Amino acid sequence: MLQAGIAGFADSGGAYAILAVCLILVFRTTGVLSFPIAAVGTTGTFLTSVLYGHGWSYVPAAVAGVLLGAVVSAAFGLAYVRWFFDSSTAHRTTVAIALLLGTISVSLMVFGDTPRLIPYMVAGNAFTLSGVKVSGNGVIALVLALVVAGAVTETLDRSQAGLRLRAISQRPISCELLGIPVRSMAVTVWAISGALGTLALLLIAPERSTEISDLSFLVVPALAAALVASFRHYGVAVLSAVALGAVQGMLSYNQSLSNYQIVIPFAMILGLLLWFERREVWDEAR
Amino acid sequence: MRLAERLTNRRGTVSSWTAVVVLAIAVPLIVDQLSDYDVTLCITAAITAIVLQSVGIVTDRAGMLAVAPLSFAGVGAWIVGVCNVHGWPGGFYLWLLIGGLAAMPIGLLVGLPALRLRGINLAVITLSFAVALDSLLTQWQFPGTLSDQFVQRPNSLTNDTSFFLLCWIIFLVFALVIWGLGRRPAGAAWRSVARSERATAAMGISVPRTKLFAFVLSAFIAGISGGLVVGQVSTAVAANFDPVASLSIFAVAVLVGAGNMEGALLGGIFGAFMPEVLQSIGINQNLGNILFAIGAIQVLSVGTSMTGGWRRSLRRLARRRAQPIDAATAVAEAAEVAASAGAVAPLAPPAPAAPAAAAAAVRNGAPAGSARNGTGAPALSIAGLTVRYGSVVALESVDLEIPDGKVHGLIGPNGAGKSTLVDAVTGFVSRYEGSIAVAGVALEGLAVHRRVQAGVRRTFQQERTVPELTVGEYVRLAAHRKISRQEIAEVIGLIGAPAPEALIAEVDVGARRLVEIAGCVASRPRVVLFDEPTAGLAQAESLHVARSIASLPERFGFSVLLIEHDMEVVLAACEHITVLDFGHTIAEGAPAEVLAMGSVVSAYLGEQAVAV
Repeated sequence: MLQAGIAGFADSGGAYAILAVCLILVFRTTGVLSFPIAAVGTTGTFLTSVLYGHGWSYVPAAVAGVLLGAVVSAAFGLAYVRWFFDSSTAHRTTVAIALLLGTISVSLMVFGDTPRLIPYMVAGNAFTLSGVKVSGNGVIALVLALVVAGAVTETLDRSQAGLRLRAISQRPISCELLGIPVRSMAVTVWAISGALGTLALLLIAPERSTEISDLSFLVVPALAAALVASFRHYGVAVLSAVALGAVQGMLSYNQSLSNYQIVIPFAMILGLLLWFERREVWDEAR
Repeated sequence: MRLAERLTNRRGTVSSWTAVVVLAIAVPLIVDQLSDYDVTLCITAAITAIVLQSVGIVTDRAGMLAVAPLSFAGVGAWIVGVCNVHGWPGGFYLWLLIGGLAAMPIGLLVGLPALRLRGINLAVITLSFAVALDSLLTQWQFPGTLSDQFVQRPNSLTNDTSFFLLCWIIFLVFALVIWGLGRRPAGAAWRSVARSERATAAMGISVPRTKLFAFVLSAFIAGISGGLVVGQVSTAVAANFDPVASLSIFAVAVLVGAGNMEGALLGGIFGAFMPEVLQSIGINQNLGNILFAIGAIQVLSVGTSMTGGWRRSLRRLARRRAQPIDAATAVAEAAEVAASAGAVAPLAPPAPAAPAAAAAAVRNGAPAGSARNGTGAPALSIAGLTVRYGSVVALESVDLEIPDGKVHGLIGPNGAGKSTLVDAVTGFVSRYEGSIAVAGVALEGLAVHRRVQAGVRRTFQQERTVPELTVGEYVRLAAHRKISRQEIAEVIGLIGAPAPEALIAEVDVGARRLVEIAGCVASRPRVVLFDEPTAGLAQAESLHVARSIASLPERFGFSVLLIEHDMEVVLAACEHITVLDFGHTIAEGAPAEVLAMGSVVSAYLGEQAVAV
C-alpha cells in the first residue's frame, strides 16, 4: 500500500501539481479560475498523439501539442481581456465554465471519442526504490512542478515583470492607466499556462483513461490542491497535489477502495470550503 | 395617473397569463398530433426544461454558479431505480417524489460551503461533485439493470403522449411555483442575494437560509427530472447525467435565461432538438455544445440572456404605448423639471396632507420605539464603542444617543469612522468593544438579520435595491413582515416613490433611493441609519431626499441617524449632529453651531484653513 502511495505520489501528484500551479498563476494575475486548463492540455495531448500516430517522432509531436495548448489558452486570454476585462467574478467564472464545455466539445468533434494511444514521454520506470517502481513520466512531472513553482514564485517576487503581474492582479485598470501592458501580459500568462497544462497532460495521460472528458476533468484534483493553498501559495499547492496523488495511489492499491479514489478531491474540497466558511464573511465593500 | 398606470400593467399581466394558459393547453394538443418519435423528443424537451428550471433558481435568480444540475437528476433517477428493485409501495408517482426528496439533502450538502463564501466556490464544489458522482454512478450501474428489473410506468402513462402530459404538467406546476415565489419575499430574496448579500441581511433576511432554500428547491426539481428520465426509458445509465451533459445544461441555462419560464422552455427545445437537427444535416452533434458555449459567452458579454432581452424589448414596447402615463418617465420628468427650475421640487408627487391617516396607520402598527412603547429608552444608544482593524483604531470610545423621534446627523471627513459605526451597529463588524442598544435592547451577540429584527435598519452608500423586482415587491421584501398591498401602496405614496408596479430597473437612481427609504419605513423600524443617502444625486434630488428623511420621525415615529457629506442636506434634515474625526467624537450639538466650530472646520479643511 505504501508502495502504491509512493508511486501515486509521483505518477499523478506531479501532473496535479503543475495544473494547480497554472490555476493559481492565472487566478492571481488575471482573476480568472481557469477551469479549461486540463481540457486545453488534453487538446494539445491529443494533437501530439495524432501526429505521433502519423509517424512523427515524439519531440516534434509534443512541441506541436504544447504550442497548440499555448495558442488555445492565449485565445481564451484574449477573449477575457477583450470582452470580460471589467466583469464580475461570477461572469468570469461562468465564461470559464463555458470555455471548458467548448474545449471538450471541440476536442470530441476533432479527435472523436474513440480511445487513443497516448505515447509516453519517457517509457518505463525511472528507478526502483525498495521495491517501489516510480515511472519516468512521474519523476519528470514532479521535477517540472517544482521547477515551475520555484520559477513562478521567484519571478513574481523578484522581477519587474513579477511586480507588474502582482499589481495587475490587484488593480488591473489602475495598472493600465499607469502604462503597464496589462492585456498583453495577461494573454502571455494564459499562453504559458496552456503550454504547461499540456505538458502536465502529456505526462499523466499515458497512465490514465484516454477519454477526452476524463482527462479534461483532471482539473478537479488540481482545484482541490489550489484550494488548500488558498489560490496563493505555489509551494503549498505542489505539496497538496503530491499528497493527493499519494492518497489516490494508496486507494488504488485496495481493490474495494480503488473505485472511490475520484471521490477524494470532492471530499477534500467540501471539507476545506466548510472550514473556510466557519467565520462570517461579507461580500463587497460598503 | 397611477390608476392609468395600474391598468396598463394589469393589461400586461392579463396578456401574459393569457399567453401562458393558451400555451399550457395548446402544447399537449399539438404533441398529440405528432409521430411517436417526435413525441419522444418532446418528452426529452420537457424534462430538459424542468432541469433548466432547477438551474434557473440557483444561477439565474440567486446568482450562484451551480454547474452540476444533472448530478442531482442522477440521484433522483437512481432512487427511483432503488424503489423499483425493492418493490416499494406507491408506484412510479410516489417514487418520483421520493427521488426529488432524496436529492434535497445532497443539494444541502453541496450547497453548504457556499453559504458564506461567494464567487467561485460553488462552481468548484459542484464541478467536483459532478465528476465524483459520475464515477460512482458508472460503477454502481442503474438498479435492476443486471436483473432486468426495468421501471414500469403506471397504466395511465403507458403511451408516450400521456407521459409527455405528465412532464408538461410538472413543468407548468414548477413554473407556477417559481413565479409565485418570485413575487413573494421567499423568492424575491434570491434576487436580492444575487444583487448584494449585505443589503439582503440588512433587510432582516437570513442570507444562508435564502441560499439553502434555493439549493434545496433546485435539487428537488432536478431530482424529479431524473425520475422522469427513468420513466421515459425504463432505465438509465451514468452517461445520462455525466459532467459534460451538466455543463451543457448550464451553458443553455445562461444562454436562454432559465430563471424565466419561457427561457427554460426554449432551453428544453434547444437541448432536445439541436442534436436531432445536427444529425439530420450530417453534422457532428458536439457542435451543439460548442454553439451553446459560444452562446453563453455571447450572452455574458452583452449582459442579458435571450429571454431577458425579449422581456426588456416587450417592456420597452409597452412603455412606448403607455408613454404619457409611465411611472419612470413621470419621475424622470419631474426631476428634470425640478433641476431646470433650480427648485427643491419633489421627484414624485409629494406626500399630500390627506395621507396623514395612512402614515398613522403605518406608524400605529409598529413595534413601538420609546415614545410608543413607553420604555423611555433612547432609540439608539451607543456607549464606549471601540473598533479596531488590526493595529488601526477606527473608532475609540464613541458615545452617541439618539432620542426617540429625532434625526441625528453624523458627519466627519473621509476615514473618520462613520461607516464603521454603522457597520458596528448593524452587525457587519461584530468585534467591537462597548455597548449598543436599540430602544433599550442590547444588540451584542446578535447576527445582522437579528439586529434588523430588533429594529435597526440601514441603507448603503450605493443604492442596493433589486433591479429585477417591482417597487411593490421590493417594499414587501424589505418590510420583512406580513404587509397588505394597500399598506405598501400607502407607504410608497407617502414617501413619493414610483408606483408599486414600476420595475426598479427602469427608475432613476434618485427614485431608487426613495424606494429604499420606503422599504425601511414599511419594516416599522425603531431607528434607521442612512449612509450617505444622497451620494451621486443632483442637488435638487438630494434636497428632496433630505426633506423626506427630515419628515420621517414625525410621520412614522422612528429615529434616524444620517451620515452625510453634503452640509446643505445635513442642515435641512438634522436637529442634532455629532462630528467624528479619526475615530473620536470632536463635537456635538445643533448643526449651525457645530459647523461653525474651529475644530470641525479644521477637521474638514485642515489647520491652515482655520488660521486663514
